[in-house]
Amino acid sequence: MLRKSSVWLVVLISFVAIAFIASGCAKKQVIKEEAVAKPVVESKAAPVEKPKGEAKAAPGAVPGEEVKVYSPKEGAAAPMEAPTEEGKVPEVAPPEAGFKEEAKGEAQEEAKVVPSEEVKTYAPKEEAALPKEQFKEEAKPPEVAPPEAGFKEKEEAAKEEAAKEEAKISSEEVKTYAPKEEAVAPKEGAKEEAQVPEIAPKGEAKIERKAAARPEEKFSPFDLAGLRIQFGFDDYNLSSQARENLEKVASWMSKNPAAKIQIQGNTCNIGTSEYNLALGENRAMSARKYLQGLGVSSSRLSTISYGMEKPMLPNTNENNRSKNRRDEFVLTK
Amino acid sequence: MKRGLFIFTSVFLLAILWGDLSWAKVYIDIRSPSFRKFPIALYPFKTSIASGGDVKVGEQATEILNNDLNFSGFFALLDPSIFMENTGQASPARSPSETEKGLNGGSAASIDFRRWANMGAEALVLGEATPKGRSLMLEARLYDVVKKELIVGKRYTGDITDLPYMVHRFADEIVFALTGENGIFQTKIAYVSKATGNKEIYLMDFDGRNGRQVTHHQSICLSPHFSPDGKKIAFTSYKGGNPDLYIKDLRTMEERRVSHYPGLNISPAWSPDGQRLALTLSKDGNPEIYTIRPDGSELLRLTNHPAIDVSPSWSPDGKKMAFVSNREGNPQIYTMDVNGQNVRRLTFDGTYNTHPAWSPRGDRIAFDALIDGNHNICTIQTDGSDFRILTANLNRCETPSWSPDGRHLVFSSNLDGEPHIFLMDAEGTRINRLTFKKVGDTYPNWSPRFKE
Repeated sequence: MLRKSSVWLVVLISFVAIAFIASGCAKKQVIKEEAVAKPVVESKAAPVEKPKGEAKAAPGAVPGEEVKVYSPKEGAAAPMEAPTEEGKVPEVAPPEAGFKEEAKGEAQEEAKVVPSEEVKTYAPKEEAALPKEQFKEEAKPPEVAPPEAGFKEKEEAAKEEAAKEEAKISSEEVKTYAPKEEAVAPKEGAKEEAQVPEIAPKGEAKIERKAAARPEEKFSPFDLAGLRIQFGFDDYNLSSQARENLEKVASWMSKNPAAKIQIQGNTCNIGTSEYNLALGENRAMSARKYLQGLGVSSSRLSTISYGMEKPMLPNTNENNRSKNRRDEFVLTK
Repeated sequence: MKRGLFIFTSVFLLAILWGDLSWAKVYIDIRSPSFRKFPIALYPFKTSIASGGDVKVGEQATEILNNDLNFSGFFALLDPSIFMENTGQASPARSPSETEKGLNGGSAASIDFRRWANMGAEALVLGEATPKGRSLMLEARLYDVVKKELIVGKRYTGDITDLPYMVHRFADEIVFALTGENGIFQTKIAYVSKATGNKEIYLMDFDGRNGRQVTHHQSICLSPHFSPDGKKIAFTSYKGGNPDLYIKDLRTMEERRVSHYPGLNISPAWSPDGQRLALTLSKDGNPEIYTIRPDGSELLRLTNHPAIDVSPSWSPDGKKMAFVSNREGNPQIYTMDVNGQNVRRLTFDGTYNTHPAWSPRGDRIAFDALIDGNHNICTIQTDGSDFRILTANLNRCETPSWSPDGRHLVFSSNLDGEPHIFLMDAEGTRINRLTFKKVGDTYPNWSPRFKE
């Protein structure tokens, strides 16, 4: 009998201990929470309910009872209800005053939930503005700029040298030059300036371009960018054109044994970014394997996939999308 | 001795269980097929200004609570115009003079429940906000109109900016008290935004409020994925010149690079117990699925196929994974055991199905399907049956992620050109837009309920 009761005691104590530990975990608190007003259990009974003042005075006593009647989980955990509740502060929202004030203002304007019918009406209004906007973004990466520069040198050398250097490319400019550049580039595109490291931040495009030109002078002039290779949709097999270009790359690399290149795999915007990263990776790997097969040492080749994150042209039509399914070749140190 | 202990423990546990059941009164059986929306009246929260507080606080609280209750889909909210027309007569209290008392005292006896019942309400929410400079006290009560009694009442005190969180917490109380299920109003959504010109990870409340930037990599950040306790986010960033995997602690804002093998380190997915991360690496020549511990150790390879394997998503029991593979020619959804065995193809409709997300309830898998040139959100049973297309060719609807209760999906769509974040019910009903900035918001990931 004694043994039995001691077991009960131990178990009871352990439960109490667990309750304490659970409640002890909750120390950080931003919002304090307490139960208010005891429930009336019998509807018409005299005002059993304690007024606010009283509930406030003894907040500890109220929650247990109140909860026990109505909510299963909290009922079971009645003794620790109040403390754990206090701990349930949304932790991802630490009370950084600065952020919250700011966010609050925005939220009120933006958080309005719009039903689906209303949403549809947004489409036409903003669609008109779309190509231009996207273009601005696409035009910024230096990868578009260099060939354009080369083109200008050839055809309009006298015109707007300064403006060009500013890399201030308006959407119209890119639109007109980009397609032409495709035709010109492979043969006699921008020679010195084509090998801009494409990871270069936008703002520094101009400086980077000049800096990149210098190390390159060690190698015989070559238009690596113009040899970018295209792929079919959801495909990473090399076309005969792609093989031809890779053979040119390989022969140039054999003549310039110090040159190292990075192969950058890219995709159009169809599909999710994760699958496209994988697809871009495989496109880069296809080229890498082919170059290795042509005798280029693997130590001179690196790969990276940008998936759909670095389109050459905005993905607004099928023609542009097909051009975005590509491998770029970039000189590395 | 041992046996006695065992018997005692089981009796004790049974008692708790039984007590649970006997105490619980579920007002709304949300799992029942004959479920009907529960009629509830939300009386506009009163603002009592002690000294120089914002008069609009009560209004804001009402708006947030109204939105929460509406969003849950459990409630039919009474049209406020019905009971606001004549405040004197239809106020919660019997007379205007008692209104004050009724709201302040929270006394069930002073509320004319019959009037609310006659208007069609079965439950009534009353509340009062007391702003005091920078601090705020919010009191809210939920009443059973038929039984004329208080169901739950809470008083919250905190900073004035905590108002939404106080309201969300009370909304969770309401849902829990009436349905027995935990609410999701305190959850967050992580997403990728180009607001700064670079893709960075952002965080917002589930209702689109309080958006804020989490990463400042000035590079490309992708694929945010919450840990099961909601405290951390795993994501991919090009910060180091390669797509590497990082984990950010949301409280300390500390960041760690946990995987930087050559090639891809992408598509993180936290196991339900938080012990492992599934991810895609291409270090062995092509994209394969691996798991690691969150500190980067104990690399295990799961798939071994010359095709692309990417985008793993764990089943809620942690025993299986859904993933994307193009091993049969084009991307399709597959499932496998977490040891890489028992690979099964799940999708046979269409030629481009990606981004699986296993429902927290375990019964369905949501994914992104290319149908007639449009990306649509679809779901399918985990055995491959009952394929459903949820979105009706609304341009590109991508990257679905489930709410922790499995009742809603968040996804990105570029209905108006730039992608934005949208919510919908898991059946495809009620699509709501969450983000409105001009820039593109993509890749939403819904947090779990936060655990302490």
